Amino acid sequence: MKRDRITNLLEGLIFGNRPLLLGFFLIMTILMGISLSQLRIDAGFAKLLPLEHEYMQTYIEHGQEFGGANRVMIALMAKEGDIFTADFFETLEQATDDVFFIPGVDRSQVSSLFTPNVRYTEVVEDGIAGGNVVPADFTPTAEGLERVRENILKAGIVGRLVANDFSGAMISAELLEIDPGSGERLDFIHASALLEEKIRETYQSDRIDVHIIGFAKVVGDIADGAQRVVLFFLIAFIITTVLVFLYTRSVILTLIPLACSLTAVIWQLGMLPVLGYGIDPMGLLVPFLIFAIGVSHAVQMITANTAEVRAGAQRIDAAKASFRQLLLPGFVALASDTIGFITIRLIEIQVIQEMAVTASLGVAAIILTNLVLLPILLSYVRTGNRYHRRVNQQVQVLKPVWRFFEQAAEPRPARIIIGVALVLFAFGAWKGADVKIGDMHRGVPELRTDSRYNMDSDVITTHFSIGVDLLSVIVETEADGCIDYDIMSAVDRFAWHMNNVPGVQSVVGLPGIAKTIYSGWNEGSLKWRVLPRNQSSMVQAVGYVPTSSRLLNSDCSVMPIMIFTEDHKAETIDRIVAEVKSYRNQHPYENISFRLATGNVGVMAATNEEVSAAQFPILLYVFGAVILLCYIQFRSIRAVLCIVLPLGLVSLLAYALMSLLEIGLKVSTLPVVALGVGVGVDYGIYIFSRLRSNLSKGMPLQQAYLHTLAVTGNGVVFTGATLAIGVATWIFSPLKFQADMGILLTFMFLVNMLGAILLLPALACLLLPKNKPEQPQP
Amino acid sequence: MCPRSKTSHHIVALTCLLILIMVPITAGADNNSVAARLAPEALLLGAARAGEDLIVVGERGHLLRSTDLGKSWQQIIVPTQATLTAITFIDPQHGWAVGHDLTILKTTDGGQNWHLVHQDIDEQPPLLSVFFLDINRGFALGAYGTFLETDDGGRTWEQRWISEDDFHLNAIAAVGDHLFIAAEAGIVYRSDDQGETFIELTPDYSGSFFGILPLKDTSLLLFGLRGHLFRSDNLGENWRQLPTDTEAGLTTGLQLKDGTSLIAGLSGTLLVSKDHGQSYSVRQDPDRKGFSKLLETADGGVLAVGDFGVTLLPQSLLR
Repeated sequence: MKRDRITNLLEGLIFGNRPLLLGFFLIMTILMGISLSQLRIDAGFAKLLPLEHEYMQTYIEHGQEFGGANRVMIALMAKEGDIFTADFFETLEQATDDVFFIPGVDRSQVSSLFTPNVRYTEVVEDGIAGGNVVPADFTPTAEGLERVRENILKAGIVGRLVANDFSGAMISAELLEIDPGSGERLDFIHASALLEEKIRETYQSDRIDVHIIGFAKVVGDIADGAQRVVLFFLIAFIITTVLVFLYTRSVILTLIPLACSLTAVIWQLGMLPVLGYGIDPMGLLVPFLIFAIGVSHAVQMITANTAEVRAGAQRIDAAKASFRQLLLPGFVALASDTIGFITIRLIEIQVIQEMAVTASLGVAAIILTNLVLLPILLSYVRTGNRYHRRVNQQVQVLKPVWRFFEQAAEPRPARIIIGVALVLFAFGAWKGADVKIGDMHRGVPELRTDSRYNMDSDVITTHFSIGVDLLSVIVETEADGCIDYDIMSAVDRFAWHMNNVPGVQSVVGLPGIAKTIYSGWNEGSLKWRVLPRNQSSMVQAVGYVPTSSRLLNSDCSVMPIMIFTEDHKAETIDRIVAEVKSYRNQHPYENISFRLATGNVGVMAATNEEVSAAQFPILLYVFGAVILLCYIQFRSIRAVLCIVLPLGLVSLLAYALMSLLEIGLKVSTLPVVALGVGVGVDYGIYIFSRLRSNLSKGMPLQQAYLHTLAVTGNGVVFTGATLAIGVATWIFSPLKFQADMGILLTFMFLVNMLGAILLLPALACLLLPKNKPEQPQP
Repeated sequence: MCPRSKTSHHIVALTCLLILIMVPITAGADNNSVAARLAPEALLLGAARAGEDLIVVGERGHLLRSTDLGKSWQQIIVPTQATLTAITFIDPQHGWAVGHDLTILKTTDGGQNWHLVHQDIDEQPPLLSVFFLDINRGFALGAYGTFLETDDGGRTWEQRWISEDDFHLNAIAAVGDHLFIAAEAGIVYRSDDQGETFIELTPDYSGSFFGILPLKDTSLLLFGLRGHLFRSDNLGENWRQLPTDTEAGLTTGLQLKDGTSLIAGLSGTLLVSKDHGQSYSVRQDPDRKGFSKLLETADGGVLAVGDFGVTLLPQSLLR
């Protein structure tokens, strides 16, 4: 057969040049190790955006001008009483000054009671008077503070820069993604660390609490959490090592698979700087996954090798034999993994695409380390009699276990298993259909609800009238549109319409502000709080609003309508977005377009739609690839069914689990579902491959399966359990998305393993043609 | 799509159909006010009683009716989206509402249906106040000296000038047989002949007056910008300024059946007098609402409208 010729050729090449190849692996690993030292953590805002999405085009066009997504808000809260104390004002002034000098802060956009852009106006007999809220001659005396209190009320900044109950004050600052001076990209993690060090640590006292929120802070906190993630990986690694040792009963046979898998990880991470990538907090799971897949395959190789040695083979022959047995299934399994990883590229979000590329590179590395390096290393291993005794002992201990599982291939239990599987299938289809896209909980979804960030966010949203969930609709019109009554009034009607949509907390836009200002020009009378039809009055009303308010652009042709939402649950976002779309369909204007969307909720809306659009194609391609590869290897539809049906069931159950645990389908969890299929197919392919090879020797199914279990099944159960225990530790991660991934991966590893050793043989029992039990050997 | 929004689609479709049918009959029907969930929480400016029912008006042509003394509100669709500033009823059936774009609406069925009887949108000044002497004769007044009168219950309106100046005419009220108009620039007008002629009165203040509160004993209170409050016991011949301890604009007044008088204004300012308007003490509404109109309900509650929408004031604030 042609395939055998290729295997023979490769076997000759590999085992004929062992020192040469070892040298190659050593040098490559050293080079990659050097490259790895260049690796840095890299978290950018743009990377997390689905840039191709319609909404994000709006974001790119207008994001710079209207920004807002990159705001940092620092609230100083008096622990007792209110803010009108000398001590509080002194602290607020110093903190404001310090914020000015944090690198990346746009100094023109800093506002607090102490910045000159915060002014009050009041109606007096002969017009409008105004001044700075904290006057230049301010002294923190009782009179001075009383004057500031009055100015605060006149300035209408209660709820924005001062807490509604006067228990705190806010410093708001905008961060620039590109430093205008140096042209360098802002280091969010650094900025976040500076905020901690210069602001929180400096000003937090027994009288004043400091709360900080904003995207930079989120990224910083994720990065902090990510450092602890490394600890979780270490724990997972140690657990794996101990379990591998318990499994192999040999130090050398423990070290070899771990070393091979680590080599793959080093190569994968080393490739990142070469490709110009950093490692993103979201992508941290990839190295671990590579390690896990590596161990999983290595254990198969070790198990096969041990079986050969026990059967009496010389060490080099044993290595060659296991290489021959596993080259094809190993390659097919890893190719399926690679395809699984590559399909997540369909999500047009840079961080995901980087993850897809680096993960496929990692799997490619495993093909080399586990199918080439590992057999070579094994061929050098000399195992003593004591090792053989230990292995024999283990085999004896496990025999009854395998006898038990072997029943899955007997007709009656097989029918029961398939019956249970059908019930689970129905359950999965029922619950899985309920899975929600996007986030379902309060606060920043990457962090836990009780994380400091989300607590800070809670304090700030409770005491200030500030929504943290913002969807901005960008209204584009002609130049000077904001002084045209018809245009302004159309925009105003839109804003009011959106205000009435359930889930909307408040709407802020230029027309609303212009009305208030026009009323101000008319002695503050509420009866004049309208948009004036008279153009010069409109000019007067709008002219008062600076472009720095982010409510209009310089030629007044673009006005964002800021829709603050009550939360960012997918259903809330969907409802609001649908309302915007239906409104603009029902009210078409020639010269006005309402464009979705910027703001953090705008980003979520785009991301949700992207995830929702990608989820079915991803599963389609993953399963398509798995089916194709299995068919190419086994040339049998029945074989494909035996392998793929359990995978399908597990995917469906994973959806049901997400629905039950209220884990949304989002950027961090969608890849897990795709990757889970990749991991699961390994088990199926290895088991089926050996099962068929045993069947072709003429064994009846039950016997063939018993033999399969003792070798391959052993490895599958072991790796499934080991990897599940490893990732289960993630559930305790400070990062919500990692915890979610941990839950899902644990589930995937375990249930895929069960699917492969229970459902696969049951299906084989019903689907495969039977070998006669007492068929004589030819 | 959930069933609720399906229903709303049907309503929209039905409304569109009705509008199509009604276009030849009612001019500008496509400008009908739009039903809005939050209308009771949006800017409301005027309030009036039609018998025991309450009607309030405000921005975007919002007009709400309560038949349970202000506990719940139903929006009535009216043929305008103009901001309505004031409303009055001469009896439980007949009422008029005025607003921007020289809009005047009329009802003859206690506020359940409203007809547009006057409107002129070409940069015209807003109407700010409306008053009817009887079922036929009434006045609607507004900015820049706008003064409209009717003798046929509001079917037709005539514009006239009551003074050579074109000051804003902010509010009108009857004190006994006399009519008083609070105007801009420290001016008050009084008519002793049912609005045929007006004479100018000048209390010692140059800022705007926003409102007049007639007290039960024919005294009257006049109030306006920056907390200014004047009292006259002789129909405006002499004025006495009362201290108020506030700098907020005062916009509306109300004397309750028990004699307590209230004057409310911007920034949550509420002045309360228990001595028949001789002296006032300030209550500050903690939410700093801007009040536009106060009204006593049939059961003695105090209804307030303003930038917060409509609410019943808590008794604690009035004590």
